[in-house]
Amino acid sequence: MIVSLKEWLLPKKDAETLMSLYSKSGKKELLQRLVELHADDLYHFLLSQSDIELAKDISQKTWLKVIDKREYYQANGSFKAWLFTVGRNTLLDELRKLNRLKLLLDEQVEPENIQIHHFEACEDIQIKFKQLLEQLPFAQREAFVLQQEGFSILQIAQITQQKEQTIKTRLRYAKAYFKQHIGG
Amino acid sequence: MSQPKNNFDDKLTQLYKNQKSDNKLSPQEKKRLVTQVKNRNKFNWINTLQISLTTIALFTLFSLYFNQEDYLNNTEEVVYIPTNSITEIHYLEKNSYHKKIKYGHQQAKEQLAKAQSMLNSQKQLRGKLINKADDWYIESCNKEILVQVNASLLQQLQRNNALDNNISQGDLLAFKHNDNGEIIALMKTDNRLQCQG
Repeated sequence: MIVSLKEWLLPKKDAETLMSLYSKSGKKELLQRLVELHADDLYHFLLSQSDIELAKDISQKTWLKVIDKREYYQANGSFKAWLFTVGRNTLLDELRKLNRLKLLLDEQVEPENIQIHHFEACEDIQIKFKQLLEQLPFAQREAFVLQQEGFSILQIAQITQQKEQTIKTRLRYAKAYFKQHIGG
Repeated sequence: MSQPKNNFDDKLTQLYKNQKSDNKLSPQEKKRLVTQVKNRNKFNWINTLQISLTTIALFTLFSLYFNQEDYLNNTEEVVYIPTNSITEIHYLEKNSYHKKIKYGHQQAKEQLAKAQSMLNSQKQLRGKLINKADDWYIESCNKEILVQVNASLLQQLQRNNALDNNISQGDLLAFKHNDNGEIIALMKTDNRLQCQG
């Protein structure tokens, strides 16, 4: 009864509706609900592409940009895709500043050519998965994580500003790589 | 055919979800993301206030500066251009306030007296001896002053041994004045170039 009353008072809204309302009103409560919905998704994506410190820093910067540029949000697009685009661009800018962008250059590495450093023989498949994900080339890892976050090939292509075919290739390589090591 | 592939995709998805659930932001960190809005607004408000105060301060500074310029210019006019005006002098002497008023003509008189005094202080002038209608004159080099010298003065100068004997028309003469502007000596000088220059 209480739960349904709460839902009646605070009806569930999707991220796009919340963002549209927030872009008009700037109300803190709306931002809070957006953070609850997608802060963890963004943080995990950034963490998979950097480290804890940088991921937290870029998370904060990205949400600040959401606050500052809320007027530019277009209601017809996916909020999550917009948030990830802003987050990704902020991360690339930061990596450029830190001279770590060369990591992006290894994007077309085929699975059999990926060099696995100190790969620990571990029976725990979850730890193995973590290690494999970390050692995946930057661009392939990016495409894989974005797909796991629920984005379509077209959305991944838009977020990363690449052709759909390139994204398909990256995903194929990434999956082949995982299959090679934990496919059994 | 597609069944094993789907199973593998599900396996990857499950592994990814597990991995993600181990790496989340804490509630405090999420709260911080939201509270930065408040700080942001506060910062903007402080920024706006600072910019406004700086603008007002600069405006006041420039106003003061330009007003001071006007004031100084006005003061200069009162002090240095006294023609047809009144100069008031205010001063304190023995702890009492005094005020003097100087009128324009009074100041002009003072200036004239100063100029005359300066003219008289020039002890030696130079000029050419010229003869006009049987009268002798000394024309100053700059041709501004024409001094008529009559016979009685020449005799007096001769008596005082203050006159060269062989002076003729066109000669360049040097004549000396005393403090009262009276000619006390007439000497012939050979330095013609001085007058031409």
